Amino acid sequence: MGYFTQNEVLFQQTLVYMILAISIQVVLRSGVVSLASIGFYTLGAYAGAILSKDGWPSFAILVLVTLVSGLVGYAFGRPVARLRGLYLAMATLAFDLVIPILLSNGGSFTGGSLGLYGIPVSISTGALVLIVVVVIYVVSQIERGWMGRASLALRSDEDLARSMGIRVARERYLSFAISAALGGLAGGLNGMLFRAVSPSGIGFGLITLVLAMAIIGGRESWLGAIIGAYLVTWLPQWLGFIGLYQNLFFGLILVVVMLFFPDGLLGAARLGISSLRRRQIAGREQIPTGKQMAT
Amino acid sequence: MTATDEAVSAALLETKGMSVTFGGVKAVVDVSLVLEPGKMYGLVGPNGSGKTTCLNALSRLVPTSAGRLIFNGRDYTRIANTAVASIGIARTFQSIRLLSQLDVLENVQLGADVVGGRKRNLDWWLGRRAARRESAASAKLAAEALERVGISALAKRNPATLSYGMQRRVEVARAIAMQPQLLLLDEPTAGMREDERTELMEVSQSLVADGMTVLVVEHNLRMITSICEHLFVMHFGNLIASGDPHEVMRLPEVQVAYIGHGADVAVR
Repeated sequence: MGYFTQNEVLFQQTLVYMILAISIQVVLRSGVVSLASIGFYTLGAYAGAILSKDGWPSFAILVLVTLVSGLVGYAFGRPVARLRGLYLAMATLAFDLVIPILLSNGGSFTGGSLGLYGIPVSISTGALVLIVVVVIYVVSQIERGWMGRASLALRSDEDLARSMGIRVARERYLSFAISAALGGLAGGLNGMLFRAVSPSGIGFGLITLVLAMAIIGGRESWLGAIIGAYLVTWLPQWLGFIGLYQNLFFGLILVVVMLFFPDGLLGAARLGISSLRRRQIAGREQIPTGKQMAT
Repeated sequence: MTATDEAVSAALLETKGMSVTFGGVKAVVDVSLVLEPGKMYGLVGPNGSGKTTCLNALSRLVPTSAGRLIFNGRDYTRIANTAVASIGIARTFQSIRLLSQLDVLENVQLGADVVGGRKRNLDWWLGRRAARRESAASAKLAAEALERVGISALAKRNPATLSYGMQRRVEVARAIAMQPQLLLLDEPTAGMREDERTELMEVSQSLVADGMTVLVVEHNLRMITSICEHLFVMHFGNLIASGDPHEVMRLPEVQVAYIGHGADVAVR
């Protein structure tokens, strides 16, 4: 218990980052290189802070920011998701970076460059864990069954997806909306946990951090985002003894993962397991032809 | 009603003056085809003659610049390409397009999911029994399709670990799992051994015997003339011949299209 109390803030931060990393992984898995959920994270944090000052309860705030972010994300996705690859990444990056600037110039409504402090609502770590579990459940539903297969087809081969009757545009918009909703939720939670929101904490640094979580963990599954969020959040704690060199170490990990494990640590683990299985199968049988199988 | 009118009214698929252009390039020019139910058709032609573009147009992956596409008496020239699967047209591609993240059965389920309609209702989100039943039905359809092409034993394998011929079979199984009325096969036996080709064509013939219509794009003229009831020949985007396979291959314009003047195409 002592260890938990001592590191409670880090645990809470990890849980928020898990939702944020999943928000990026959801779109990457569908082949949509969108970073827009970070923008929705910012909007969610500010909307939550403003609503709480108007007396809204925390649960209502979280439901509202999630739904509104999802709807706005869907509407935003319609024109933006037509873009592909780097162009989409650049457009959503611009969206992420413009929002803090607008908020810095929002006067007393947004607290200007200082942001908003003394948010009057909070959320317990237990409730946060529960929210993360619900998020994981919803996202795991998307990854299983026909939706999981459809999103993989969407990412790997759009013509194939179309010929299989997968409504490519609609699935893209939907993944965009889910990503935005999760971004908004993570933002709302972050404001409640740390009782403050500020434009200085949201920028290119946060974008690369969350992207690194999804890449290091692996974009194939929510589990990769969870692993990535945990590792990236706790790495500074574990590497505290090497001081400023930890940034170098972090960069090194990122490069190694991208070079040798393009599907992240989860992908590498799965590859290792399937390669072991293949060796076992190869030892037992040979691939028969169709006729041999029929007889 | 004339004999021709009767044939047209009984047609499963009909194209009327179908054309496809890419910028200034005329890839398919004024092609009119009639495909009747329960028959095997072949589409041949030299490289670059527009065969695959023709299939892409029939499956709406490329837009037609002129003409009409009619399936089961319904004009589908302007429908979304994602709706083609649900009206009963399935296809395979010239290159292998399997997902290495999924096992063989799951790859085939991608086709079977078309039949289930991909419902995303409350049952689905809550993982209820109705959703699980649908998922099981899709797995059953996929397993049946695998059995049909004779590779049930490979259901749990990663497609990337299979031979080229087996991967081709998985692709055909995926298209069969969509339970189409019309199956478009784009060079399904390319890169296969002779015995694998024969086996796959036997599978295609059994599908036709069950009432499916199959249109095969193929380069192996000997094989295509022996299994098809009707052959279409394309050259430079034009349909230059159509009819009984052996008779069509003897036509001078077909001989010229394939190997130039005065030669006999080796299909005997």
